[in-house]
Amino acid sequence: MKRYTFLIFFLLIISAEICKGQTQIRGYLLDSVSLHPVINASIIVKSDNTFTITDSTGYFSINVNRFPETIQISHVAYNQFEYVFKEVPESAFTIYLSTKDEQLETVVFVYNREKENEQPLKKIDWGISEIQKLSSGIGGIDIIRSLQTQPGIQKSSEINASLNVRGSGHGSNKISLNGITIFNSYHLLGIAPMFNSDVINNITLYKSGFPTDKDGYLSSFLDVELRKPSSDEKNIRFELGNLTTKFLYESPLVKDKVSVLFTARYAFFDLYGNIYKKINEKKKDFVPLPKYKFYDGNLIVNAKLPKNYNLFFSFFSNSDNFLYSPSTLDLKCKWTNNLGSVSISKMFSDNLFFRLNSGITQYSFNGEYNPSSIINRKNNITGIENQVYISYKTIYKIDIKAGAFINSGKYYLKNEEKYSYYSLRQASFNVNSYCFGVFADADWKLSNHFSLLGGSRLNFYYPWRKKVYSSPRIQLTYKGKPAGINISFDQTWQFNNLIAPLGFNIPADLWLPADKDIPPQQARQIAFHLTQSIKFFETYLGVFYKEMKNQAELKDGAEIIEIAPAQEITFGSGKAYGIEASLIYRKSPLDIELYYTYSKSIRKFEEINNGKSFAPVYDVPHKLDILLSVDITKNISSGVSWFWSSGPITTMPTGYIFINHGSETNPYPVYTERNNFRMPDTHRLDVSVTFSKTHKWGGSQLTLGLYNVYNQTNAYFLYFKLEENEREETTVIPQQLGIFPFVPFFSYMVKFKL
Amino acid sequence: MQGPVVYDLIWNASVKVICNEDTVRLRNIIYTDNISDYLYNYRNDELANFTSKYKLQIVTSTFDTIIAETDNIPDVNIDSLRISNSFINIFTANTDNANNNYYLVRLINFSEENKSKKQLIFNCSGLSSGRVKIDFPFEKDNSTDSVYVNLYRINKEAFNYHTSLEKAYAANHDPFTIPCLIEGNISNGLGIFTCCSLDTCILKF
Repeated sequence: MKRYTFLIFFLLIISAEICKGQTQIRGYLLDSVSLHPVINASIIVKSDNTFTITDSTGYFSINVNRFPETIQISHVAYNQFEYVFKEVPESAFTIYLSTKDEQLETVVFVYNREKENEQPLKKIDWGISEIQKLSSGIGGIDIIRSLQTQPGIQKSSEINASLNVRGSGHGSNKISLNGITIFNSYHLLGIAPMFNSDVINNITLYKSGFPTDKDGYLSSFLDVELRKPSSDEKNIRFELGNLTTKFLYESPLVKDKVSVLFTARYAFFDLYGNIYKKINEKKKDFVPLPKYKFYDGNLIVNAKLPKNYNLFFSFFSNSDNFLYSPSTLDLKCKWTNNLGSVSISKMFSDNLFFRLNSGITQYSFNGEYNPSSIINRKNNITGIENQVYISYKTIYKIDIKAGAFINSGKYYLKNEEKYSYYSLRQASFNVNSYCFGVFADADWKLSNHFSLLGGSRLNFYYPWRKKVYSSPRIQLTYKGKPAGINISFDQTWQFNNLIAPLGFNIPADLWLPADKDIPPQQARQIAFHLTQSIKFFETYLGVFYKEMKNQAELKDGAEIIEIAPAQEITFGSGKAYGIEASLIYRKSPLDIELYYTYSKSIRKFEEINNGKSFAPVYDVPHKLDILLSVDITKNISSGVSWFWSSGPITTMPTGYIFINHGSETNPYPVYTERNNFRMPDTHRLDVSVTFSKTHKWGGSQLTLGLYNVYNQTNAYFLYFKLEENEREETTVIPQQLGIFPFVPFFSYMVKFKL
Repeated sequence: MQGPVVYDLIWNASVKVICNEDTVRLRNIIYTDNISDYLYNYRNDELANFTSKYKLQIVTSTFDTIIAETDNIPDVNIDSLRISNSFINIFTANTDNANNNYYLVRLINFSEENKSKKQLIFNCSGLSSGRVKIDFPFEKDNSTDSVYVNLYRINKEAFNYHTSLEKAYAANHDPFTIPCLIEGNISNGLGIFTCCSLDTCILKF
């Protein structure tokens, strides 16, 4: 089967090459202001009037017989534009069109690898076109899963949907939607993508070299920027997959001035649970599948105000429900996120930009666990965040960025153990926290190749001791052809802790704010990055070292029910270091990407493992990702991804003791040390094919895929089974649990133009 | 870790309990308790009850030494029993010392058709001293005409030991349970040395 599959893939590549008798020019048309794709723009080859139009992503490709050749681009809303191609472009390029109202010059950005060196890879930056080309998984395009393939970003197990960046836990990453923090928008086991990719315009992930407007978290900053609704046409989009369904509507309210976008997404995993139950419920020892469903939605309004101000409003809401009731226990959880943000911005001149960002975020978790007594947990967080940001380019080759912020957070926790009508034990807290301050940095171009950036952020935090938490940042950058180098130093503070004892994120993980008993976390990181581009190849090498203070872990045997949570937590230090490398080949129609990370993470706590250093659950030393994508034809594209990584860390018993309970004697595992065992390595192969078609009424897209092609069982849990033989000897046999076997998936999307 | 696991009783150990000035040596007698069905291999009925503290000292034939210490525990009485909905309500009284307000309840059904034992532990340390009601889940069937209710008063150490056992057992079966150390008070060993007081009632239907 494996050989047959390889042969088909090989034939696909060959046939794509054979078809390429003429030369193809491929590119994207985007709006120069909104960066929104320009759809249905006409592209004409002037010499022979060969004609095509852009698709829903602004993409086009057209055959050209000779060079130099003039391409004419026209659209009813934009200035007509002509460009002379003197030779075949090495890969896809982007053209930013200006509307007839704007007097901006149309810009052509030729995708040139040398231009990548202007920003050595300290961050990951994906625009709308890159996002749409990401491989589609079971639940659709998943930005978090795609980020997990990148160097420096690990995942601690197959069922971990979160990011572990450079040796830190997932609670150390700030994920923000249009500048406002979102606390826990993961869906169960990462089965479905965190966000609906249809509304995302851009994502940026900083691993180091943090700008001074980024702080409050230790490890990384993931900015998810929502896209502006179309200002000139109405669109309706509907998508159905085997796990989720999506709907999108966007329309101008006042043409070219005010526009609105609404999306809704719903997951119906419980449908499969019901089918499974109907087929199997009469079987002996039947255990029902868990019931799980979620929905989310976005509302976006964009308005061009007088005097060139722009107003952007967005509202996001999601809700997840989980229920599992086999005979021995009852587990119910519900978690929700609600987030509203407003942003007002203005470009005063080519040199001066202003933005005011304000928003409210609210996260709520309510869970009940009932093995014998009922354990109930409620954890709510409400945050208000405000930031003013100004950037100014001086005439002295110094770019200055500065601003101020005021944030507040209200954390509520209540844990209760009940039995029948009794509240046996409970712990609760209600803490208001405030963080405010200023930030500024200056980027000084020392020469054509060297620049030096220095700055700091000053944080004032309550409730903690009255002191200033400063976050200095320094960067030295060399931009050359074909290489670029960046060296950075960052200090960051985090004023809350996510207590996540398992190896994967679950909604019951506990957010605790810093207060008199819980000190703020601190990290210092030095990083070095080198990038190089030669012809069709791009290479990257990164090295980092990070030290962390005031890391929080649960004490051995901790029960966050009876007494205040701070008394169940112990504090220690951590460090992480690693090497990241990537090799990318891009030559139309094929892209091949290889990413490798070596990363070591160490923690040391006096009260854990007798003060001996140990690896945290998200320590994954080795990770290798190989991604292939090929545009087979203009309307058919394919993606293949394979990864291999070290197994996750877990805690295994070092022995068994027998304890007599009346008429039976049971063996009980003896745990002596935390995180003392590494599970087997994990690896998996996924493939997908996407068929796109443009119709008079809009467009459609069908994606077919195979998840876990060779049905690899990647362990997320190890346990021991004890079996008695005929001689009544008890033998211990290790067993493992994996999560997803081979799964075919599909999604079908239709888009209507009104 | 793979291979046979052996349950091995220690014989010929010197097992002493020290209370006040007295030292009582436990005799090496293997037997099963009629009510609880627990297996014992050392016993002495002459332990004094008018002491506040007991100390345990075990020296094996290979000269391994285990020591432990526990406080005495007040008596427990079942004031009354009642059946209500799907519970047996057990009425007893908390003491002034919250450390002694933990209970282990064992329900034994001797009916031929439904012979069973069920045991649960309860943490009533958060409740005030005085009368308390413990609700033990119970589904009566037609063949059951009576059940034995054993109410043990245990201390916090014993309660933590039992709950840690449950968690350790669950951690080997459930990926959502955090592995935990088995709690105890034995120096140089695993387990618990503790006192409990017992009252038994028969509930007839």
